[in-house]
Amino acid sequence: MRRYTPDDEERIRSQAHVRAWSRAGLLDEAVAARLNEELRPDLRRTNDLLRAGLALFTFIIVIAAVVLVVTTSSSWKSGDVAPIAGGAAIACLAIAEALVARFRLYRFGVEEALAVSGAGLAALCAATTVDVVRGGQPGHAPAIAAFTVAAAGGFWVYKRFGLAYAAIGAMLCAAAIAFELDVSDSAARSMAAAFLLSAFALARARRLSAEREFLADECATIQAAAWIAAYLIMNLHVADFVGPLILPAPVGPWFYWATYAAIWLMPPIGLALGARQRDRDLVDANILLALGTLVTNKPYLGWPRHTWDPMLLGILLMVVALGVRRWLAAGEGGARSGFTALPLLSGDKDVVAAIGIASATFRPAAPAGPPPPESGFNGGRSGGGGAGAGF
Amino acid sequence: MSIQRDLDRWRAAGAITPDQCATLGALARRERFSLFIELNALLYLGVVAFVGGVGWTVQTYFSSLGDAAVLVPLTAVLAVCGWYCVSRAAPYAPGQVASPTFAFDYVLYLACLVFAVELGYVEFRFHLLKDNWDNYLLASAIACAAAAYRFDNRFVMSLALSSLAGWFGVRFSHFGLHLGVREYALAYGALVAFVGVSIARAKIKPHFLETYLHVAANALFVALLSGAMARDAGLVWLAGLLIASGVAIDRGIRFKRFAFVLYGVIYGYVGLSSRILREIDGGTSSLAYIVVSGIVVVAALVVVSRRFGREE
Repeated sequence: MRRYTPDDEERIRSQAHVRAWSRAGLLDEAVAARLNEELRPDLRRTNDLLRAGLALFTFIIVIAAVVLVVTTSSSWKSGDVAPIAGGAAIACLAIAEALVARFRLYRFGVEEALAVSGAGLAALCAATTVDVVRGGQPGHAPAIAAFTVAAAGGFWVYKRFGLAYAAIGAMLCAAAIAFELDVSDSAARSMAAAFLLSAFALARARRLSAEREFLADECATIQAAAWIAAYLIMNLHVADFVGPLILPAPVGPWFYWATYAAIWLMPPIGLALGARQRDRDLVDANILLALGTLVTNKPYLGWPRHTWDPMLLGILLMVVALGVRRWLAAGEGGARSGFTALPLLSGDKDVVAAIGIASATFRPAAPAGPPPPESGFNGGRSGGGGAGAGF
Repeated sequence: MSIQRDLDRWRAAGAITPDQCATLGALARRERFSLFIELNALLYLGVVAFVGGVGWTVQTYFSSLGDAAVLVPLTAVLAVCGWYCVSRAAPYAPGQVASPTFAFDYVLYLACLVFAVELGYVEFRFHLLKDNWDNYLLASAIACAAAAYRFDNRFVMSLALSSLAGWFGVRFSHFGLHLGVREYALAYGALVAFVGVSIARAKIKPHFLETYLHVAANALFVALLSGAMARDAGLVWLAGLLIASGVAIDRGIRFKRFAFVLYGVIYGYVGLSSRILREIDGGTSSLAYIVVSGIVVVAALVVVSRRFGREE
């Protein structure tokens, strides 16, 4: 089924290890180069940033080409769009297959963008076909068809090309079907969350039983994404922070308080599961979810927000970080049960350095408030961290 | 476990020592698991949330709290943070210096943010600089830059650059430029790039160069792109954008900094395409242009990938 052999994928994974060890000084550069050469698979790969650029421009080409064909050969009616979208989907998937077969591309940006576009265009074809069959009557059927085909297509792309994000997209599309059914918001959320938790359990089971390490890594990513998505569906006050994008419908009190319990239970459970398996994706996901729970706790309880809430949150985060670090450092050899606060590979320090560079753009600023009583600071520019124009 | 198999094979072949095999095997099996990134991220978020709350509280309640109630706690926080940093700092060295403690970088970052809030508040309340009020941003930038170099702190260096951007009138926080500030952004970008390269060439904290260059490149490209896309602007902006794109791509390839290659490709493509699409009559031709030009860009990126950006 998969376009790449397990051995090739394992070699790529081992190469990544060798590179990381070499950069951390754990392997001599000459030895690392020799091992790297020995591991090299017969595949063409590229740098992650160039991969992103290639994927971006491939998406642009596909979208422009489809719109061009539609505008030149037909109208924007569903009956005309469906065959074009279907044809384009087949073409995209065929080209992606050909690129891998002919040029042995692996995570090269182009072939993956084509494969994902193929799944998306197949979903468009399904939606427009159902719309034609129904005679253009309003209803949820076209969206359900689109989500179903997108889920199936995404899963196929994952199985074929090993793209974990395609599996995540497929999972989210399948969960979205619940919101297109004629059921209450509570029922839709329950169904979607149940599906995502099942996907989490399935991915976790596969991760634990996988004989190949690259498959275990893929399943780890998928299970973390399923866990995050289930949490976001259960947290009714996430909408407060994403504005009008998600408008929560009213739900009954029992459901409301059940979700409140869920958002408090999920992060510690997830953290425990992640820590037990040394699963970084799951650990990081649940740290974020714990933050989400802290931030949405007051809205859940209907308590008023205060300007000093972020200060208290900041103090809590700092105390937790320093406390955990101290506790770990006090263990034998600076570690407890294998967990340490020390960087083990140079990549760890690189990530922190990248946060340092990115902080030039995402510096903290005081939220905008009512206009000050007199001018003098109104024109305050960005910068000067914390000193917003609102003073 | 295939990586363990590989390690055993390399050990048997003499490529690695038994000690290396044991160490690397433990890492691969995650017997040692580092929480370094997570704890750093929590500290960073903690500092950011704390200072955000401070700014919000001061902004909302300064009239009812009074100046002393605002300035005394801020000064106390600043003093404690400053004492902590000065008392624990390693001696100055022009190269990279490791943080003496885990929290050191974040304590200094907190101090600089609180200093900026306090400076802004003082100027807001007492108008010490009067019409030159924006110079408090320059003072803030200079103070942060000095602290960044003395204590070797990338967060504070970034803060210095964003404060300087504020002084130059560049509103990064809104991800856009207003007409009339392009020149400021150009001057800012050029100055940041020049200073960064000059200081790095003098071998003073050369690891800060990438921070300088990322900030400078984005400021320059946004300014040039804004000019190239403006209907009332001349072709000189487009020419400047294309030259800057060429330089970014060339330097990015040469020094294997592919983020700059992407900056050059994306900003250059958007600027050039906006000008060409303005001249093209009709939607069909425009779409055909996007398809053809997109293919050209993909082909060029494939060539760059194969010749310079291999991941092997």
